Amino acid sequence: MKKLFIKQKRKSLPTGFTLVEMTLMILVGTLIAGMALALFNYQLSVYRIINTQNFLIHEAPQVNNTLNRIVTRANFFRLYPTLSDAEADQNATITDAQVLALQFNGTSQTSNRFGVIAFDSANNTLNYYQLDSLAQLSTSTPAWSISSQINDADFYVENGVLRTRLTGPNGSEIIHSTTTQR
Amino acid sequence: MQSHLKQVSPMITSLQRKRLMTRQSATLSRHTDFSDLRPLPRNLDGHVQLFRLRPVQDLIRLASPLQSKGRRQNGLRIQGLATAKNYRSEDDQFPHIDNQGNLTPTQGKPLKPHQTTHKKLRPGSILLEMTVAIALLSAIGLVVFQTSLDLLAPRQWVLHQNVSDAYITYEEALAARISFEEFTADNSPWPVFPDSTSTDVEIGKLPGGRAITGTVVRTRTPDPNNLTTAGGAGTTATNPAEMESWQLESHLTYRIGDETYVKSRTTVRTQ
Repeated sequence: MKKLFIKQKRKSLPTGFTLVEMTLMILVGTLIAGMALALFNYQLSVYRIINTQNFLIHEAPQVNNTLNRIVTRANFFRLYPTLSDAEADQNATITDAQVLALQFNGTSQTSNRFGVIAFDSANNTLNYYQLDSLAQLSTSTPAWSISSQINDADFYVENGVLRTRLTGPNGSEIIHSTTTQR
Repeated sequence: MQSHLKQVSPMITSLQRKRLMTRQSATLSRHTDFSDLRPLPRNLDGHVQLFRLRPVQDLIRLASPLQSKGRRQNGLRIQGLATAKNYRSEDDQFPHIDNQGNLTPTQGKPLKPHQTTHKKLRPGSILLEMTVAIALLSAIGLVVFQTSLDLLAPRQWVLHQNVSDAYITYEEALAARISFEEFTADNSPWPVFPDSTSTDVEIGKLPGGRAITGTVVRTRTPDPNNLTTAGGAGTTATNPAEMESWQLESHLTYRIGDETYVKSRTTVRTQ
């Protein structure tokens, strides 16, 4: 009886695979791994595409809306290449400006106020300053940030219309136009 | 009740165990491993049945009980039969369990040696499982691809809408900003309808830097009460103040895929 049991155990050991079976198994396994990797890569690329589109779909319309609400309330605007130029009120331009200075006329009881929209290339943010005079730019900090997803902002004037070209991630670009109060 | 359970000796082959079973469990194949069997009482009267722990195996690796013909030749017998050859003696004896549950030798036809091989897996089962995996992955890939297309297509549409909305603000602003003398001049950017000007413009850029282009068509139409000198049919009787009104129309045409879209803005100027 004992001998019978041992024999049975030995015979129940699994046999090995042939070379053809192993080759086939490796090929099919590689195919499955490749498919899974391709699927993962595809999902990753879709995720990247969605991320790069987010600027034009979500951020740019909000920036345009904010600029439109601010600029149309101003009585006067002037463009400067840099913040220091705006602070010194020099080198005003109508092309390639990164600083937009807006003047809001005061009433008989209040003085004029100034709003400055400036692109900070170091932090890639579009900031808004609220000031009593442009000379305060050197000591003031931004009242709030309009956007932090902008790679570049360019203000220029075309046919008397203020235009703002916003460049987002991966080269996306949108141009918004507005005029001041007339 | 425990006393009614029949204790099966581990030395008894699976063939002999099979004889303890009822018809429901008579479909065991050579792949059956009796280590996962356990005795279960039925009808509480001492009958003993052996059930395997995973019945799903019956669907995959066991032969149908209806397939009686050729079971032995096709290797669809239970594993225990194969081991019975070890009991073969000179007079072709093999063991069975008598009514008292004792193992006793008896006459019978022995098994052939090549039928005794025991394998845990049916040959080709891994290949089958991998094929199923490939099919599943392909199906998942197709679903994911379709879903991402469904997600990206409307976003592409929204993206073009936002860019064109932003661009056409220039037409509104310019129509509001331009002087009356300029747009009523002979070289007006808004000629009197049915004349029009058409200009190809770049309205923005997609991610990756690909430019989105469109065409701006401009025209202006007079108010019907304008004086005849201003394109209307009014008279000093109907328009004693000699008011002059014009509708400045701008139409931006652009394409998304195979579709063409037109976005219009109209500004009324009066003096």
